[in-house]
This record gives sequence, C-alpha cells and structure tokens, in this order.
Amino acid sequence: MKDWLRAFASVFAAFLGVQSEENRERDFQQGRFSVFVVAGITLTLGFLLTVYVLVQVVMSFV
Amino acid sequence: MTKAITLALSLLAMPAWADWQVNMNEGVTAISREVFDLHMLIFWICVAIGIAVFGVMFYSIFKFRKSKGAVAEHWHENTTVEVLWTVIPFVILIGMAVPATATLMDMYDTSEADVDIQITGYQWKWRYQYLDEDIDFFSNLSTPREEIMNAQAKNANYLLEVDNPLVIPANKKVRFLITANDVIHSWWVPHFAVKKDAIPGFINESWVKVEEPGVYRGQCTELCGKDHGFMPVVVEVKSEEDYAKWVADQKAMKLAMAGEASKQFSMDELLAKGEGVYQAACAGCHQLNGQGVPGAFPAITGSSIATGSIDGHIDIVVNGKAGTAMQAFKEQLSAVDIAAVVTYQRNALGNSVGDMVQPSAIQK
Repeated sequence: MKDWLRAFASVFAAFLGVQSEENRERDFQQGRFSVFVVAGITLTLGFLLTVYVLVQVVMSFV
Repeated sequence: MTKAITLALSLLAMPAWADWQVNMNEGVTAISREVFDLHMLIFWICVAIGIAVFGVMFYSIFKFRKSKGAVAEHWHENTTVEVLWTVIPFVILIGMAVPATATLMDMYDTSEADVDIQITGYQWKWRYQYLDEDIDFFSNLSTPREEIMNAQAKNANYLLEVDNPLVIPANKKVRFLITANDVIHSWWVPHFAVKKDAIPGFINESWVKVEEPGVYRGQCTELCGKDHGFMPVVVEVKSEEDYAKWVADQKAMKLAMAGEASKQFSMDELLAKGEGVYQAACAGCHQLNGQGVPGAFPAITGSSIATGSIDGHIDIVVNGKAGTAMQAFKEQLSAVDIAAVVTYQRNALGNSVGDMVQPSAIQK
C-alpha cells in the first residue's frame, strides 16, 4: 500500500516537474515499474477528467 | 556625455512623439473594449511580475556582490521553493484564463445575427456577399498607382482605401462568414477586434455590433502573395436609415447595370471605361504600361492573346488560366467591364488590333 501511495505522489510530482533527489533515489531502488505505469495512467485519466469537468462547468455558465 | 543627454532629451520632446500610439486600439465595439481591458489587465499583471522578479534579481546582485565579500552557497535543491515557483505561475495563468474565457465565448457567439455577410479573400481583393440581400461585390484597392510609384504625394489613407467598402448598419449584429478563393488570407479590422483567417474550403465565423457610424480600416494580415499589402479592408458603418437606403441603391444599380449590358458602346466609350478597369483589375500584375513583369506576369503589349483572336482573349479574361496567376474575372467584372477592358487591351498599351467587343457578346 505504501508503495502505491509513494508511486502516486512521485507521479504527481512529475506532473508538476519537481522532485527531490532523495525521493528519486528511493523510487529507483525500491519502486516497481508496473506500479508507476498504473499510477501514471490513472493520474493522466484523472487530469483529463478534471479538464473535461472544468470545461463543462464553465460552459454551463454561458 | 552632457551632449548625449541633451540629444536624448530633445528626442523625447520632439512633436512627432505625440503621434506615436504604441498601445493597441480600444476599438468601437463592446467586444473590442473587453479585449482592450483584458489586454491592459494582463499587461499590468506582467508589469507586476516583471518588477517583482527583476527587483529581487537586481537587489540580490547589488546586495551580495563579490566586492562586498559575498560567497556563493552550494546546495542542490529546495523542493519547497521549486513547488512554489511552479504553483504560483499556474495559479496566475488560471486566474488570467477566467476573464479571457468569458470574452472568448462572447466573441464566438455568432448566433442571432441581423445581417449575414460572406467575406471571400482573393489575390488581392475582398469579395462581400450579403446573404439575405442579393448584394455581391468586390472591394479593390483604390490608391492611385502614381502614389504607389512615388510619382505623387501619398494621401492620408494611402493603401487603406478601396473602391467599394463593406457597408454595415450600426447597432445591428452583423455576422461574417470568412473564407478564401485561392490562398489563405486574413480579414482584420483593428477597431472591431476582429481578425479571422480566410481559408479556402473552410468558413470561419465572426461578428460585430458597432454603435457609432463611421469608417473603419484594416488590412489583410496573412501573407498571401505579391500584393498582400495592397488589399485593404474598409468598413463603412451607416445608421440604420442610411443602410436601408444604401441597400436600395445597390439593388437599383444592379438593375441599371443589367440594362447597360444590352446597350451598344462606341470604341471611345469602351476605351475610356476599359482604362479604368485595367488600372483596377489588371495593372497589379500586367503593370500600368502593359509590359508585365518578365518571368512572372506576361506583357499585354504585343501579347499573342491580346493581338490574336478576340474570342480567345475574352475567354482568358472570363475564365482565367488554370495553373497560373491569371484569375477568372467572370464573377469579378460585369459584362460591360469585360468588354471594355478587352477592347482597351487590344487598342491601347501599344496594341492596335482595331477590333472591339460589345458587352452583349460576353458569355459568362
């Protein structure tokens, strides 16, 4: 479980473009590739959904 | 040094300075004022950011200069600062997007228009078709060639004047359907805050609602070939009554023109009319003296078409020539204009074939 949380946090950090050296080393030593792939896809879909919902909300005010 | 300062100060005090307008136009429509306010808002946000960023930078450079014994820190990262300088611009951008989106959505709302006008870009002129009124005309540059060639002083509206301006009513929502016939053009009137690409095969929409009657000028703003700078946009906004009168006049003129096409013209009449048509429609490429531009545009003088069979000559003017810059003029010129310009080309510009054609013989 902790693995998953860390992977999501790291992918989120990657979205922002900011990550500490300490976390990067930890991810590369302990992290599993598949966990990062799933976290990446999930957060990307979440991002798309957020943009979609935001646009719908804005359009509803017209 | 003192001299340089005096010179710089005298430049600032020059009377020409007052004519300089560096900022964009506020315009004459509600949308253009919104765009202007948005522009100013974002400008001041940028100024504030600039002052903050450069202020800190210059202060640091000055305060921690080497001559005062400053020594550089050696550290690798600071996640908090990095997150801050990512999140703050993100928030600022979203903050700017909110009012910008509202304005954009107003600009894109072309519904419920009172007048619909199709605007088509041609090399190098604009065509305006009033979809509900059966009015259809071309708008050509009317600046005299002599001014362009520096043989005459340039007037105040140099290269911003046309023979037939687009006429629209004030206080009505006018929708523009913008497209092009040959290459990409762009229809731009700064005072309306309207700038839309005119793309062959596509129709872009825009609209205006101008409160005050007046004349507003713009230009083609997509590089479209040799005479890109010679196809201005002029819009005349008339009061509702004047607009109705203009529409009636246009319809009456169309009827009169149809009647004229069956009239018999003398050689002198055709030549006189043809010279004007030639200057407006042909001289851009074939040149005022009919010499053309070697390698690009053929000469009319001594041309095998202009001195050969008159039917072939009429055909190329009416239908153009595929694969060349020679356009089809059947939609751009009336039968009278075509008859006149063909007669002119055959009997002027150094040619003297001696024949003529009547408008009634022009098959469009």
